[in-house]
Amino acid sequence: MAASNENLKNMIGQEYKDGFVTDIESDSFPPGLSEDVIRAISAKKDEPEFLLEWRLEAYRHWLTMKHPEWAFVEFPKIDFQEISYYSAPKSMEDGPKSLDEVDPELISTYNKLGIPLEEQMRLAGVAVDAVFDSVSVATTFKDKLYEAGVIFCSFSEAVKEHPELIKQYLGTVVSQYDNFYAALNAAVFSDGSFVYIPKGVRCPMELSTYFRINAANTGQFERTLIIADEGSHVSYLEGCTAPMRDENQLHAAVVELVILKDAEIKYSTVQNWYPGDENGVGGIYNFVTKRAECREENAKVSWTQVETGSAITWKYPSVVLKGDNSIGEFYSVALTNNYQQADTGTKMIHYGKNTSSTIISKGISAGHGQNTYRGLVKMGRNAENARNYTQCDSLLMGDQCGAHTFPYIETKNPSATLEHEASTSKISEDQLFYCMQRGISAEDAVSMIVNGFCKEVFKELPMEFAVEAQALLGISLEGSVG
Amino acid sequence: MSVTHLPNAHYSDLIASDNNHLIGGDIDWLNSLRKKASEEFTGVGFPSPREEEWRYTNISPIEKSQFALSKQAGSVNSAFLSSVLIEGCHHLVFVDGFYQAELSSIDGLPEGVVVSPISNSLNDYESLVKSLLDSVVETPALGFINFNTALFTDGAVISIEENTTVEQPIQVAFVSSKEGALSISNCRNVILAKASSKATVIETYNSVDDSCYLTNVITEVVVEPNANLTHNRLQAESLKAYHIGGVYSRLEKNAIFNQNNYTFGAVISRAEIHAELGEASDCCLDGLYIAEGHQLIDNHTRLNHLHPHSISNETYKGIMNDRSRGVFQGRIIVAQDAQKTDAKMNNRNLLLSDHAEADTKPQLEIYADDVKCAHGVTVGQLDDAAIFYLRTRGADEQMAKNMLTFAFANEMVERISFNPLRIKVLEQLVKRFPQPGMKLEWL
Repeated sequence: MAASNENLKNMIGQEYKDGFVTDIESDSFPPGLSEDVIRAISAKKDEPEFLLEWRLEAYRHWLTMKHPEWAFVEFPKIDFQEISYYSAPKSMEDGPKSLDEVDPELISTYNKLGIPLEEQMRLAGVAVDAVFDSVSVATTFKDKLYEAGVIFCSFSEAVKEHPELIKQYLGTVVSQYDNFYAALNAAVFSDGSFVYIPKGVRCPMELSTYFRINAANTGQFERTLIIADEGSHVSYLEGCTAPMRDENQLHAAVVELVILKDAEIKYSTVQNWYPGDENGVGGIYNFVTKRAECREENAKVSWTQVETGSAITWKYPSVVLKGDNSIGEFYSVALTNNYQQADTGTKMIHYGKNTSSTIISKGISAGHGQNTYRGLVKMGRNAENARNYTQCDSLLMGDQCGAHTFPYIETKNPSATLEHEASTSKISEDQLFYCMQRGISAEDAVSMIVNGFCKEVFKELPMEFAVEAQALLGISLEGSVG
Repeated sequence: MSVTHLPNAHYSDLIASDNNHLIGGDIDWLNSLRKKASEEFTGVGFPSPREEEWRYTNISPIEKSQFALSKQAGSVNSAFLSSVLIEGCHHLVFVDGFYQAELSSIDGLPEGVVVSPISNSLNDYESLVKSLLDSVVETPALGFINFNTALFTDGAVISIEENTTVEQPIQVAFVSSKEGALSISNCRNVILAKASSKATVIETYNSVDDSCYLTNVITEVVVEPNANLTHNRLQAESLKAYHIGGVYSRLEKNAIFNQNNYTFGAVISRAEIHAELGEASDCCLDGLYIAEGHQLIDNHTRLNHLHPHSISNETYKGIMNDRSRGVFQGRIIVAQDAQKTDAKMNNRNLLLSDHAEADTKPQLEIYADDVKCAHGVTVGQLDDAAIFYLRTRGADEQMAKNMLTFAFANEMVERISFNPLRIKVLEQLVKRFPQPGMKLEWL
């Protein structure tokens, strides 16, 4: 094993591929947070009065809140006055009407990331909304989607074109007072994606948002709102990257999903924010509030996440199962290497009858990584025959890392059935030896075993994403076998 | 988390008042220990539900009740006492927190074995008491520990000599009398199992009537290399009482420690069962809790694997009926050096009514890679198919349910090897789940 360990160690040096900086002139606010900054953001976006008021309420509430300390992560105190709350590429100021007018520098950035925005080059079947720092630069296939009745656009555009929908749904799942970072986001969010799938429509293609942080010293605060009306169906993907920098950057997003009768949303995330270097310098703080509400009967939502990036990941995509017979699913692979920390999991809150939820969480820790699963399963008084199955497995690679499991289970209904299982293990010498004596190199063997460990989650991802996720996992883990 | 909870003035006053009824008032080290604990308590007070460790258990009724300190033992009639004492054991009896020599019986102990109340030990065994007291208990922000350290009135000192086996179990019986109503009894037990010794200790908690009082008790346990200690706890307090208890243990190399925790009484019961595991030690924590009416039974366990090759096994089963709540938190910590740890935890809950609640929080915190750790939790109700089967055999619905519930709990009872204790626990089960063919005298 010693020789192969050496080989593995040599491969640790693999760099973060998407860590380049796009040299583009940007229009940024100076660092600082005040009511004036919020008014300025709102003015930049030409927002209606109600939204500005909503932001200000959130801000005033945020000022009274204390920074939460309960998570199993450690980081220096964030100075919220040091962050710039708005940054947009200058060329976006005039608001390009079509892709042809978008700054070629921006298009090439996305090409470099493997997200071509030219529609003809795009793999058929995926529409992309590209968010660059604080603004959405382009949304592809808009027209084609519009024909099907699907609204897919940037949040700012939705505020202008469909204010009634925004007014009706914004903050109804994650209120502007929800938690510290959700309140901050509500006050200063700059852009994001908006999706509305009308009654009975099955979205003809996968929708996708690609988030990119470029400017230094900025925070990214986007807000995604997806509404699936009666009997509709949509599959939504989200990807994220950022340049390599020595400073930590804050990303505090909010995602709200509203699912009405018989509708279904499948939400997949491949999160690859810059994780910091091997000494734990730099990287993104990914503090996100994601919540879905199955508001009416037979609604279904499925969260799938592959978390390989970020210096700190702190998020719990949740499902409120209000409607009878509604279904919530959560599939997650979270990987921490070097000095990365993750405190992630889900909340399944059962209120309706016959609701069911499944949680499959796979945590992998390597290097000095600390990986925590924290999840809540709550069965309300009226959740007759509700059902939950939870499985969280951890894989430890190396003797400096940690894997932690903190499930919370609260049951108020005797007919609810609930199962929770967790295990922690490492890649056994036997498994490795077996693979190697079949002629498979140690590196490939580890990759096979890890992929097998994560298979249950990967099979939930849309095809292209599954391939990307497997590759990402391979890169993030290289050399961490001990 | 910052705590905005204000220390309770009534209890701070109790601690500050002139407590000359306490033992060891002329011993310096004990006085300074008590003083330190009082100061810490006065600053923080009892925990509030805003603290993560207490989020499911709100002890504000204790704060509101404003219990007085128990200053002397009340009377207990012999018929009641004989129902509490377990046959075939050595007995140490404490009433309202005070040792009762005439009710206790200890004889035929092997040489070098100490079984005595603290109040009698401070002269003969001062160094033993000093070495054990406050040596195992962790002092996080648990107000009850400080309250106990500052005000304990008595408790058991048990020390098992090296290479010695004490055949008869040692029962430490805590009884609350009629006169003990509306007061707090603070007892502190210390148990030392010296190298290669073997013993069984049984702690029981009972009340003469259904009065309201608070028992705040702590047991500290040290199990030295190759020693084997079994510790049982049978909590059957009055259903109006409050019980806050803790067993804090330290296992040294190759030590074996079995802790069995049976909880049936008290309107709010909280038990902290903590173990620190040394190299290749083996710890087993078992528990059974049955809650009815408005009871809240909260068990917090913590297994701290600090050294390699240790093994832990934990099974807690709970049955909740009426409007009761069962809370379980099991935490397994595996330190970086604790390679080859094998830890298993299991918590099973049965909800028997529409208004019962189970809150459970199994936790794994692992810093070593070559370990096997697993936990499992279930919350559910009785199997309809099993009930149906029993009904086809002529059992009515209630009887069928009683039989199945009994069987669910009995798994934990069957593990008790000391028969008189097993019968004591079965009494509690039969009382709650009566069924024909299940008569105590047949057991």
